[in-house]
Amino acid sequence: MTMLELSNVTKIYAQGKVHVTALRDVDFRVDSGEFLSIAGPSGSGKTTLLNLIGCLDVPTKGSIVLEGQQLAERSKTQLAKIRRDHLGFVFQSYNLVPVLTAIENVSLPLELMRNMTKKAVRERAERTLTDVGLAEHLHHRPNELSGGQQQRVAIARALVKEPSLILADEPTANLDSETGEAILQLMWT
Amino acid sequence: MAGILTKLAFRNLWRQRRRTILTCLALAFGIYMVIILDSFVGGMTEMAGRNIVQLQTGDVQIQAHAYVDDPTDRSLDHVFAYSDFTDDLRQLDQVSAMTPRLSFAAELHNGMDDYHVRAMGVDPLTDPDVFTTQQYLAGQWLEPGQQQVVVGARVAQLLDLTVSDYVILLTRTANNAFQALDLEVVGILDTPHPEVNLAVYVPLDMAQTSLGLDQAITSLHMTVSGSAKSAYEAISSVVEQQNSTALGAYTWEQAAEDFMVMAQSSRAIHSMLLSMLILIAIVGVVNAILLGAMERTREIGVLKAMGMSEREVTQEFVTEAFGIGFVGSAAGVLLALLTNWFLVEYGINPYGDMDLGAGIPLRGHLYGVWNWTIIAGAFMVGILASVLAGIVPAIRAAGKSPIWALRQ
Repeated sequence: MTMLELSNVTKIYAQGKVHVTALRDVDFRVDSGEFLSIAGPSGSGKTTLLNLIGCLDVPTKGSIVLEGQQLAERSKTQLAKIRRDHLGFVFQSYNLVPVLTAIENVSLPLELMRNMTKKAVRERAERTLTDVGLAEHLHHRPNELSGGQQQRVAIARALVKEPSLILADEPTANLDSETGEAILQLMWT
Repeated sequence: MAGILTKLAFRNLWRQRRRTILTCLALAFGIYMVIILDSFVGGMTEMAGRNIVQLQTGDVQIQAHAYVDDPTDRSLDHVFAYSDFTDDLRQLDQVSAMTPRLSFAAELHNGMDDYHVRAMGVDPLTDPDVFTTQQYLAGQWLEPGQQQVVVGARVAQLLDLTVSDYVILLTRTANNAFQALDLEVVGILDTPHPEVNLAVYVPLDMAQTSLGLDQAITSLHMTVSGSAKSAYEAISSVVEQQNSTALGAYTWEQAAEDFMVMAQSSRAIHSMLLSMLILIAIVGVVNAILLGAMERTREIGVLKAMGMSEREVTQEFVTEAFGIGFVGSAAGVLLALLTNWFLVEYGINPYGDMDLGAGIPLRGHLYGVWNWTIIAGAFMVGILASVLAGIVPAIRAAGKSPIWALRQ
């Protein structure tokens, strides 16, 4: 079943009078359950593409359909709602909220969705953190965790709401090769 | 949802605790000053009002309009016979006590120096029914018909007088002839009303005889019971019945118009202080929220990437502004309550024995008052101004593009 479909997606950035084309006529399709990697040299538009798919930006031209929903011409609030309900993000530099503990960071997306009781949120967050091997670190703040552990929390945060699509932008770039391998393994499973 | 926003807001405030504490302290200081200065001004106004009533005017007085229009007029041109009113006034239930006074200009000599004073002929028997003058008396009170004088403490100090000294009171009679009265100082008055301390008091009958004024007085002072308004109206109608257009009944507020104008101006001070408080709150909170938003740009991007709406991000920052407003206002109110309790219970004496001057009928110890409207108002304004000040920077912070924010 098609979960994501991009047709003729073009993104042009205007930098003063200069127009930079970051993406030109991109077409592809992703099915449910598929694990897809996008590779390319620096500046080739990988992050731009993820931003468009992640509803963080809108294409200059073309259409993006996520789970049957056309993303073009959506308001900021509607895009925020799609991000909240359907997408999970894993960033290169983890981007955990520093004032929240691991379990609070993982609970955050569920609390934003507002459709679960406090108890259910907590149980789900705890289970997800246990799944990524952080059962012992539930109440640690990000600054008390290693880079690998922080990225596991970030993955748990992306997974916890069981989104349709998880977008990971170079999730292992800041990790050593061994930890990076473990993280990729975790994402596969 | 509100739970997580509140949690985020308060943790972020604690994260920047130095800035938060400084902003809260600035706000607390503003609130504290508003409450304490109000208490101080309120206390001064209340005490001054009490001094006027208890030492100068009584609750209501009958007097010639000319004397009220020009309080410096010490002539005997507008005296009246109070016996015209006394029978009617005694029948009024509202009038609980009354006493006549005769005010005139005089010069007091101690044999070496002299001093221009306001002399007051008072009825030694009925004056204490209306005025509390005797509470501040060192020595003896006057006796009817005697060649005695009670002098204000300031006059006594200036002329170096003590009880049982003899002085000469030089004045002019109703016919403008000089009259010198040889009087014994029987008491010295040291009151909290500076004007009283600059006056001298003699027995009314002796003054009337000496000035050639048979039964005439310059003012009739009354203490009233029950509603001051209805008492004033009843007394006014008694004056009107006498068809005396030169005389009128005056409440103490009307009689002390200059003081009332000054008391009214304290409201302007309140407005100014409140404006300063709002300014402190706005500057502090805007600064705190703008800096917080700048430092947490990337976090804002992450929260928006996770689906937090602009409204929710705004809400989070406004909650921070509320937090600053609440803590700052509460701290200010608490400190002010403690200080004000001391002011109300023990008072302070900021000027020593100095008179405040400028016509302020007040001297010595000053006490604060509890003005719960201002206390609650300052607390609410502190919070409201903080929240309102936080809205614009919060909207600015929330409006950041998530892509731009994540790149920071």
